[in-house]
Amino acid sequence: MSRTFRPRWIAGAGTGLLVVLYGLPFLWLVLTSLKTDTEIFASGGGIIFQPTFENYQSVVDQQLIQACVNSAIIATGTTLITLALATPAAYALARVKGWMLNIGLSAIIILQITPQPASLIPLYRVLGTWNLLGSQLGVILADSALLLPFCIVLLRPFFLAVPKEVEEAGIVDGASKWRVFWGIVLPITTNGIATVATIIFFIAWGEFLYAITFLTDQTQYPISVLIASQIGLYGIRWSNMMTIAVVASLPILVIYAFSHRRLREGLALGSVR
Amino acid sequence: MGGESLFLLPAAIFLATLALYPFVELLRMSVSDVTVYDIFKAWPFIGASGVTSVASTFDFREAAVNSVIYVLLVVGVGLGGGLAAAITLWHGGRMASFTLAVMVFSWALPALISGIAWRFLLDPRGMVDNLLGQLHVGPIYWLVDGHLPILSVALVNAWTVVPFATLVFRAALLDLPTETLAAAEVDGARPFQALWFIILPLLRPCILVLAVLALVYAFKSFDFIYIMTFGGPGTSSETLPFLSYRLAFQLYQYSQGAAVALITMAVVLVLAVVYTRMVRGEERG
Repeated sequence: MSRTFRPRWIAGAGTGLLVVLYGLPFLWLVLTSLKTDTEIFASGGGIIFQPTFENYQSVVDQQLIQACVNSAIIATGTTLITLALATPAAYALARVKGWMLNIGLSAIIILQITPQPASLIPLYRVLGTWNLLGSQLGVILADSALLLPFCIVLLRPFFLAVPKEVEEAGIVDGASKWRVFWGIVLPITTNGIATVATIIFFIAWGEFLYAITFLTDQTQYPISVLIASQIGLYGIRWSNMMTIAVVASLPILVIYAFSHRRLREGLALGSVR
Repeated sequence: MGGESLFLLPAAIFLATLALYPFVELLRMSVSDVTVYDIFKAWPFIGASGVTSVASTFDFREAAVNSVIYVLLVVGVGLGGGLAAAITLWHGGRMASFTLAVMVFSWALPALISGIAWRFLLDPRGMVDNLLGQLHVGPIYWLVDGHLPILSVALVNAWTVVPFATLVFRAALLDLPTETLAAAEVDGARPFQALWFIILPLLRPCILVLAVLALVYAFKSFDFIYIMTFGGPGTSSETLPFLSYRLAFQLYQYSQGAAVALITMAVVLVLAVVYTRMVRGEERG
C-alpha cells in the first residue's frame, strides 16, 4: 500500500541520495588515509590514485598502540560500571510508583540537560580531593557519572516491557526480589541490555573532554585525546589526522558489524515507548 | 514496596557524589567569586551579580542567538530528514536494510570522528568544495565565512540525528494500521495528501517525543563546535555551552562560566516543561 504513496523512482533516488550522504564521508576518510600529503587535496575528485600505507607506517607507533589500549581500558571500565549501576536502577524505576519515581525521573532529567563542560570544574575538585586526578580510574568514574542517567533512560523501556505475570510466577514460588530480578528478568532482557551496553561503549570510546582535562600524563591518553589535542593547532596534518581517525573508528566498525541488527531493533523499540 | 528501592541505592549514591554534588557546586560557583587560586579552597560569596553581569555581555547574546539557530536547525533538519528517510526506506528490502545500516553507523561514530571528518570534507580544498567546483560553484568557506560556520556545524550535527530519527519513524510507520492506509488509497488520496492528513497525524506522539529529545540534545551539544570551529572564527560560532567552557577554561572566569551553564539549563528546562504541558493540554482537548 505504501507503493502508491511513495512512487518507486522517488524511493530509488532517495535511497541513492542517502547512501551517498552517509556512505561517502566515511569512505572518503578511509581513502584519504591511503593517500600521500600532496595527493589529499589534489583537484579533479581524487578518486584515482596509488594507495599507500605510508601514513599508517608513520602514525602507528608505540604511542598510538598505547592510546588504543588506554581507550579500551577507559571504555570497558565505563561500560561495566555504568551497566552494573544502571541495570538494577532502571529495573526499579520501571517498577516503583509515586514519589520515588518522580524524584528519580526528575533527577535524571536535571542531569540529562547539564552540558558536559558545566561539570568539569566541580568534578575536577571532587576527583582532586580523592587523589584521582591524572588517573584513568578518575576518568572512568567521571564518564560513568556522565552516562549513567542516559543509560537508565535507555534501559527502562526494556524492563517496562517485561510482562507482570512472568515475575508474579516467580514471587508465588517464594523467590526473593533479587532472585526474581537475577533469575527471571535479566535473562529475558539480555538483548536490550547488550544493545545499551554497545551504545555506552561507543560514547565512552569517543569521550575526550574529561580525558583531556583530568589526565596529565601523555602515556595515559586515550586515542580520542590524540585527535582532540591536535584540533586547536594551526595547519592540521590531514593525512595523519585522517589515519588516526580511521584507526579510532576500527573497533566501532567491528563491533557495529556484529551488532547492528540488534542495535537498530533495540533503538527503535526503546524510544517509541 | 521496599525491595525495589534497594535496587536504586547504588546508582543513587554514585550519582549523588559524582553528578548531583557537582551540580550543587555549580550552583554555588555561580554565586561565588572563584579564581584559579582558590579552586580547592573556600569560595567567597558574591550573590547573583555574576549571573546578571554575564547575561548582559555581547558574547552571551551572540552565543544565545547562535544556540537558538543551532537548536532550530538540528531539530528541524534532524526530524524532517529522518521522516523523509523513513518514508523512503519504509518497506524496502535488502537495499533499504543496507542503507539503514550505513546510516546508523554514522550515528554510532563518536562526534569526535564524524566532526573531524566533516571538518576535512568542508575545507576549502576539500571534497565538498571540489565537487561544487565541478559545477562551477564556490569555493564556499563553510567553516570560516561570516555566519556560515554555525550553520555548517549545526547541519553536520543534524546529519548525525537523522539516522536515529529515521529508525524511530520507520518503526512507527511499520506500526501504522494498514486498513487506514488502504482506505485512503481506495479513496484516491494523493501521496502528499496521505502524508499530511493521515500519516503525520498518526505519527504525532512519535514526533513530539523525538522533538523533545532532539531539543535537549541540541541545546547542550558541545563536541561538534569544539572539533569543527572551536567557536571561531573569533567567537562567531559559539553556542551557550561553548561560551561557558571558554569562560571557565580560557578566561578562568569560573563563576561566569557556571552562570552561563545554569542559564542554559534553565532555558532547556522551561522549554521542555512548557512544551510537554502544551502537548498534554492539547491531548486532553
